[in-house]
Amino acid sequence: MVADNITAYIGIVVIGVVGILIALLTMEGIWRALRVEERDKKNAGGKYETYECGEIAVGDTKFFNISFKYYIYALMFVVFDVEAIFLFPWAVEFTNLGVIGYMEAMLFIGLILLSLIYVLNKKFLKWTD
Amino acid sequence: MLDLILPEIVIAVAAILILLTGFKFKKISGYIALLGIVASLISLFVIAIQSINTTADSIAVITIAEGISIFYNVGLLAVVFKFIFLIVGLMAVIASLKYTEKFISDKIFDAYYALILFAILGMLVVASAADLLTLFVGLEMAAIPAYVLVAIEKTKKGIEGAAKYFLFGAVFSAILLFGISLIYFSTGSLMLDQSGILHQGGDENLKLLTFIGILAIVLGLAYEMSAAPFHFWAPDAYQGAPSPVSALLAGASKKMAFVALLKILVVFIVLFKFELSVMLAILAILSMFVGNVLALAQKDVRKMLAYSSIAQVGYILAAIAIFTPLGIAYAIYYIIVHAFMKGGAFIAAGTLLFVSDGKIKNYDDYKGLWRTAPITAFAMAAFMLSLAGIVPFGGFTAKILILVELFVQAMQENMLALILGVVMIITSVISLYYYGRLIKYMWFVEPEGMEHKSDEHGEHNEHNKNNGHNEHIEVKFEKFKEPIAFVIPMLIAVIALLILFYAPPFVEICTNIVHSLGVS
Repeated sequence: MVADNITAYIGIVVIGVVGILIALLTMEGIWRALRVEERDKKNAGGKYETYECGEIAVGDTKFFNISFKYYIYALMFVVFDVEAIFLFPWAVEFTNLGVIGYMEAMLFIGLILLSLIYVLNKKFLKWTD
Repeated sequence: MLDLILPEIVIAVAAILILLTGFKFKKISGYIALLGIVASLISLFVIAIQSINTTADSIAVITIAEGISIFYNVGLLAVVFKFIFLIVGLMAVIASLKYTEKFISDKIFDAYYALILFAILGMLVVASAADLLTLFVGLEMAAIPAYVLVAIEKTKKGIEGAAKYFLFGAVFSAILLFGISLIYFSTGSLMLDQSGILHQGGDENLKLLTFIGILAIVLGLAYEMSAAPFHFWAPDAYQGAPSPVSALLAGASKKMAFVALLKILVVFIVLFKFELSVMLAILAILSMFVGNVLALAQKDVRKMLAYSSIAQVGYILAAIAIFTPLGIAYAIYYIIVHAFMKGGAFIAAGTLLFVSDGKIKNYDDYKGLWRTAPITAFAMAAFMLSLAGIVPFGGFTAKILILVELFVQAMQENMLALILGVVMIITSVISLYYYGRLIKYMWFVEPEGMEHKSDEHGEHNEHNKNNGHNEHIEVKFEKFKEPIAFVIPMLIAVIALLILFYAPPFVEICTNIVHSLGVS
């Protein structure tokens, strides 16, 4: 029943609460830190207008103001997240794999790092000019 | 033991180097790619010397460290097909050095060359695969850069061709994977040797599952090799892609599908000989008809070459379908010859596009080329003659060997071989028309607006210019300057075809391959 071993699950509850708090606080903090004030938007010469396939935007877009340039970050996130998933089993069995396991994982990370170097060199991660 | 995978390592290192340095120095990407392929060819030579005289199928177990090993096949089949891939890749890269100046924006040079190298790497992996999963990884590694490369010119036709290739390619890759999973379920082993079959034991349901698995795998591979009725991506993709990429696709990517097919078939011949024969024969007959008949109506030369590729795939499948050792050997020989024919033909078409800024596309534009682009006209005529199967090019020996084998089997009461032989003869005759038409337009027909005049009349025209300048329309033709970067691949292909005309040493290599595969 519920009462058996409930203390073993305290860890999960704590992690859940702390995780949600971290996510919310991070999002709020970044929003406050990086937002552009309304008065700066008016003087920016159209840089902050919403993209509506080239036409003049109709309607209020305060809620859906996601820039198109976000796509490249989403792409990079997927690649590195999958890399992280592959690294989890390796991390669990780290001590048993020895030096050769460490070398192989470093090779794996290194190859993915090369892709990051490529993206940085081609300046795909620059948000504005 | 790592020297056995040295070709792949060299290509991967070259591709990574291109990605790391190409953003700064635009032109260096092409030369790094060239260097990489040459180095890979040299290291392949070293491996080939060790395995050229053996008939044993050597699955090398490459031990990287204690307890970590990969199964990799470096037998004769792998070595020969790696040669084909690397040489066709070399031709494509050399032609790209000049082709990219006009047609591809220089911001993506590094991506272009890196993608070509990754595609070649995938093909090398497929040639050496010893189990089904490595095969699949190699197939995807070669197909996905090809999806991007077809669209890299960002023309309307390119994007359309790439969309067709990619969308259907994703579906057929999924079908291929489904087949692999079915075979794994029914035989319990992913290895491409006989061990999985022997463990099966004869349960009827299991046999049916195995057969469906093989069917799915053959379907997935038939898409990649553009056999009818799965050929619909090929014309648009070959027309829209940059010509060196088309050469790589038609010359190397198809052969990769063939080597995968051969590897899988020899495992399951023991169980399903008759059904597989019929399946491949149907694919072959359809491909021969569809390819040759539809090529008659094409106006764009690259589309014609694509349909002729479909037909040639039909010939090769016909040779494989009868499942005799000589049949498969001749099929491999035809594969080798065809790689040079199609690779060279697409590079010749690309040369003409380059020197004319994209204007020489259709048959009508090819008129009178013997004067304006003599080297290309000669090379293209050589490729057309070889494709049609005319002496003294390799296409003749390849075609006649397949026909002989088909009819020898037909005389031994093999109905399938008789049908295949007859269809092959009929469709070869049909193909003579559109191959001959190109040669005729290039060498024997003058372009419009130019009356026939020889040099003496030209002199007289200068005098008569005042009197009536509607007597002879004075057209001056300027000879196109064909860049050396295009001439070299075409010359390689033509010389290879001439060498391949003398068959016996190559047929011996092919029969050694077949013995190493273990076909009865």
